[in-house]
Amino acid sequence: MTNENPIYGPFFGVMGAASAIIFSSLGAAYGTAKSGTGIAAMSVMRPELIMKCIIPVVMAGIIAIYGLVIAVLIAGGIEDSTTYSLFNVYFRGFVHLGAGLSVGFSGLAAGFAIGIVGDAGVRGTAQQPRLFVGMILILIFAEVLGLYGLIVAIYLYTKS
Amino acid sequence: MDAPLLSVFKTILIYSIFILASPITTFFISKIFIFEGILGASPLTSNVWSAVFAVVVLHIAVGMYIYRAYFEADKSKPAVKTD
Repeated sequence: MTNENPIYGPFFGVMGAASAIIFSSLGAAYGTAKSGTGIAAMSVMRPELIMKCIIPVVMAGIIAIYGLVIAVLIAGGIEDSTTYSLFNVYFRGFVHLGAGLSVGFSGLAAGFAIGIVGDAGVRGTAQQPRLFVGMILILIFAEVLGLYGLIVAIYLYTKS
Repeated sequence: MDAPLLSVFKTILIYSIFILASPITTFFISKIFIFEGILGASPLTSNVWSAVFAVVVLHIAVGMYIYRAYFEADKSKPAVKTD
């Protein structure tokens, strides 16, 4: 056990993997629940629009898959503390924690955005169907926020 | 009234399974068989490229669902009204 390989080294990697999936799932759950209330309120009057209006729920689910991919990547890279250095040449611990936090909090933010946009957009689409294209565009821009976090996380992961 | 509802449910179920299952299967199949099996890449490289592939496949699946929802809903609207 040296200064570069402390016994608590894998803690950072484990926390990175955990925070990736925890915060992404938190955002995805908020997005699903918020847009789900909108769908439930809308489909009482316009049940034929359900297939169109499931899209916010699907996009919220994608956020959780981003977190899942990064969590699986990080979990595959965690090793015993003797070979898992924090900040040496292969500075893995801090990089894994950073990768997990970046995809986690980006997913949280994107999930909030998808939930709020999905709720309002689905209710509006029931009254004015032309709003659908605008809702899809706003949802894509909200979901890209989570994709940015994923890109940064993958790029950070390649540093390890 | 039951027939369109059932068909919509079937469509959504099939697309949901496809969207949820395709990135995970793509990740592990491309990692184990393509990158580590055929190309013999290092674990880091194969992990990263499998993740990129999985995300690309995921977006293709979602794009297919949006395309289907956008055009299929217009098609099925008169059928619902004639009922």
